[in-house]
This record gives sequence, C-alpha cells and structure tokens, in this order.
Amino acid sequence: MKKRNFIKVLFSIFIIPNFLFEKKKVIKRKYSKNYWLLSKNDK
Amino acid sequence: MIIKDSFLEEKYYDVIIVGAGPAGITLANKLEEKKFNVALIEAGSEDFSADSQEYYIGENVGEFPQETDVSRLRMFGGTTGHWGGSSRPLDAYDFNNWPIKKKNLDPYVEEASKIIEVKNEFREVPFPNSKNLKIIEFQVSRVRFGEKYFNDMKNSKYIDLFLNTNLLEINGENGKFNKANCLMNGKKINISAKLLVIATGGIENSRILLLNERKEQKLFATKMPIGEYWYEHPFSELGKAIINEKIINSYLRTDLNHFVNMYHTGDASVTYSIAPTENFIKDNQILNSCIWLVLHKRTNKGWKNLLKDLFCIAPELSNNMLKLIDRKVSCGATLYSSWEQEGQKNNKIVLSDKIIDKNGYPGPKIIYKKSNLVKRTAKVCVEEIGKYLIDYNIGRIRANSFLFDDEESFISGAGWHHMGGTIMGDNPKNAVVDKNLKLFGSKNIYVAGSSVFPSGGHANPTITIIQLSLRLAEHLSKII
Ligand SMILES: Cc1cc2nc3c(=O)[nH]c(=O)nc-3n(C[C@H](O)[C@H](O)[C@H](O)COP(=O)(O)OP(=O)(O)OC[C@H]3O[C@@H](n4cnc5c(N)ncnc54)[C@H](O)[C@@H]3O)c2cc1C
Repeated sequence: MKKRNFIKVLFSIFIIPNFLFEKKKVIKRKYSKNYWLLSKNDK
Repeated sequence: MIIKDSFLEEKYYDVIIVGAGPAGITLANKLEEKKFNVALIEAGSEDFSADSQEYYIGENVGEFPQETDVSRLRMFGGTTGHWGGSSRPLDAYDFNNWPIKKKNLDPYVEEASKIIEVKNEFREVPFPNSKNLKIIEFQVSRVRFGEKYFNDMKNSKYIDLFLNTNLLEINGENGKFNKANCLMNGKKINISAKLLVIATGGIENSRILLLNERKEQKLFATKMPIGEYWYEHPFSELGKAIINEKIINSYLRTDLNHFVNMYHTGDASVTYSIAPTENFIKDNQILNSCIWLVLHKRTNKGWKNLLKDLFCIAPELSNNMLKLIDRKVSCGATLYSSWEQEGQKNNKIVLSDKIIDKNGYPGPKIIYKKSNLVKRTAKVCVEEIGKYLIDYNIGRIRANSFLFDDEESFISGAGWHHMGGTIMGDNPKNAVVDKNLKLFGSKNIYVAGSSVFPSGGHANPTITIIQLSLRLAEHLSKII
C-alpha cells in the first residue's frame, strides 16, 4: 500500500467512529492579546 | 479595428459598449459572433499609464482600505491587467436575493471557463466527518484580457475599438438613449447606436449613472438606489495555528489532489480553502465565507513563538506539539479569510464634492462601514474550525484578538472586488437594473459587471461577471 493511502486508511479508522468522540466544548484562553481556542482537557 | 483619431460620426452601431474589461470584451466578442456592429469605447490605451490612472482618483469615507486609483486599472483589458485570476462561480445560496438563480448562469460556466482558460472544475467535498465545513476548489486563471484580445480587436470586422475615449455623457430622450458623448484624445465626439451597455467596473458604473441622473432627458427612472448597496469582500488574517500536517495533507489532499495553491505568501506551501456549509450558514445566521489554512514551510520558525505562548497556558499541550514538530508531523499555519459582506443602503458610491477629474466631472466617493454580522461571520467560522481541530486532535488555533474583543476596532483589508451600486432586482424602489440588466425606466441602456450583483458570496467575482455578460449577449442578440 502506498504511504499516502496507508495514512488515509489509518486516519479514516480514527475518524469514522465519529460518535465515539466526545464533542469537546471550545474554551477561549487569552494570552498576551490573542485567544487560543482550546479544549478544557488541554493542560 | 482600432479607432484612434478620425471617426465618422454618421456611423450608426448596433451596440455601444463602454469599458473594455472582462465584462465589456466578453460581450463585444459574443455580439461579434452574431455579426452585430459594436463600438467598444475604452477610456485608457493599450498600455497602463499613470496619466490614465489619475482619472480614477476618488475619495474614501469610513473604513474602506484601498485607494480608488490603485484598486482598478483604466486601460484596455481593464483590471485584469493585474488581477490574481482566482476563480469560482457563486454558490446556489448566494442567489437568495437575486431575481435570477444559479441555474440561470450555469449554462455559461463552461464558456466562461474557456475564456479565462481554466478547467470547468469547481468541486467541493465535505470536510471529513463534518456537517458544518467543506473544502472548496478554486481555479486560477493566467489570462489578462488586454493581452489576450488586443489583436483580435485590431483585426475584427464588426468591433470598432475606440482607445483613449472617455464616455462623458449619455444623451437621448423619453427613456431612449441615442448618443454617447465622449472625449477622444481631447476631442469631443458623439457615437450613436441602438443600445448602450455600461461596463466600466464596480465603481465607475455607479458614478456614470449618478453623473447622468439629473438630466432633463429622463433617460432612466428617478429615485433608484444608484450607488447604494455597495460592498466588497473583507479580507483578513484571522489567526495562526499549529496543525498536524501529515493528517491534513494525507486526508485532505487525496480527494482534491490538484488542489490549488491559493495564497502565495512567501512562506505558503500548501493551502486548502475551507468554507461553511449552507446549513451551517443558515443555522448560525452568518454570511458566506472562505478560509485558507496556509501551512508554513519548515524554514518558517513562527511556530516557536506560538508554542512559547501556548506554554504559558497549556504547557503539556505545548510540549506535545513541540515533539510533533520535531518529528516533522506538525507545522505552523496561518488562517486567512475572504468573506461575504452584505449590501447595505448606507454603504455607497456618491459623487465627491472634493475630487474633480481632469475632464471636470466629480470623482467617486466611497462611504463604507462593515456591520457586526461581518465580524461575527469570521468569528463563528474560526471557532468552528478550532472546534474541529480539537475534536480530532489535529491542531489548535490562536485566533486574532479583534474577533473576540468587542472594543477593538475591526480593521480588514478588502479583496479588490467592487460589487453592488447598480444592483439587479424586481423594481426600481430597491434596485437599478432588471433581471436582463436593463436600467429601470430606460428603453435601451444596460449595465454589465459586478455592480449588478445584489450579493456576492465569498467567491471572486470575475467568472460570474463573464457568465452575466454571456447571458446579456444572448438576450441582446434577440432584441437588436
Ligand atoms: C489586485 C487585484 C486582484 C484581483 N484579483 C482577482 C481574482 O483573483 N479573481 C477575480 O475574480 N477578480 C479579481 N479582481 C477583480 C477583477 O479584476 C474585476 O472583477 C474585473 O476586472 C472587473 O471587470 P469589469 O470589466 O467589470 O471592470 P474593469 O476590469 O475594471 O474594466 C472596466 C473598463 O472600463 C474602462 N472605463 C472606465 N471608465 C470609463 C469611461 N468613462 N469611458 C470609457 N471607458 C471607461 C476602464 O478603463 C476599464 O478598461 C482583482 C482586482 C484587483 C485590483
């Protein structure tokens, strides 16, 4: 399998069971003027 | 043939087209195919000149960021002499407030693509596992209308191209145009025809009508919103990001593998254009938009500053991202956007009382301000992309402050796309031309170009301008 296809398959395995992902709320955290868009689990 | 100095005033044309940009040239070529006699009147010459550009000086009031004499070209071929060539037809939902629909312009997209020498391929694919975002495709044209068509015009049997000929006044009576009063190399001449088409670009179309509005001859309806509902495509950097390049590249590039490298900044290598879906636009009551995620080359060390910032608020995440960058899995990126601005009555072209052009006529004055909806659209779209990156753990965005700080003034660039001012509609109370681009109240004056767009989505306007000119040619062929 070509590398690109392999990565694609790999990525689809991760991405297809969409419902398994807990949709995370975006939290905004300001750091020196601009805003990072982060998940609440981002430590 | 080219008319430079001498000219027989007795000649009576089928159509006079004022302005030799893509709108005027496309129309002239199509009418020539049907063997109609056309006078194509162009204010500039074959080449660019500072002297000609001076006629384009205008005044800006409010937030409009570009000078009117640099955001367009007054020469044969019009503004395509320095356009970027990015092309994509409007989305079906951009036509919600048009009196015609996308299906009325679709029959012309193949021919319009041929004219600008791009593939008629404007695909879109859903963003993997997202109902809210999609990836869209632009084609990039290298055609400059001036270079492409000059010789054709020179040798044309049916088109007389008048260079250095500035339309000054439109004359006629009882709603019927009969003569165009022009200045050709400093000499006043009258050119007569059955029909007149004004195709002088997204600012001049309004200005010419405003200059001719108060005439006793009543060439068109009074009290129309001439110059009003004028708008642009705001353009701005919306933020920076750290992106998992491997995943983005492998996944997104596979479906649209010749995806255009839209934005050639010094450091841009690969770019994708992301757009909100129709449902997302409706649900969030926002405008249409398009966002480029420009992945940085490895030589660009901008990610260092991003990770340093991130370290102060999320050190673990910052360290993990640094590892991915070291392993050449992730990279830095910039988000740029060019998006829709809604037409508003108060955003308009009026006649300046300060600027008078070299022929003694008032120049254009642009009164322009962006609404909160414009800013909210950018914010909602960035948040949605940020959320997607978080959900699939493929990156994080650092959004620019103006999106979230209400008190910060929102300064944006513009896309060099002048739209509105002579918008198309069903009646002269809120529009200037009808669905066939004829001026309300006139028997034989038409307008071509993006000034007739009631709304302009996010897509660059020229391919739509060409589609409209092809449709206008078909209409005029039936009535001449
Ligand atoms: C820097 C830049 C980049 C751009 N990039 C893109 C892009 O990537 N994609 C895209 O789709 N669009 C782009 N555009 C916009 C594009 O150039 C215009 O949409 C297009 O040229 C408009 O065509 P037009 O024929 O209506 O007007 P114009 O091209 O402006 O032509 C109008 C013509 O009318 C003539 N004229 C004006 N007044 C008179 C008068 N009184 N008498 C006689 N003649 C007159 C002018 O000399 C000119 O030749 C860009 C514009 C700029 C400035």
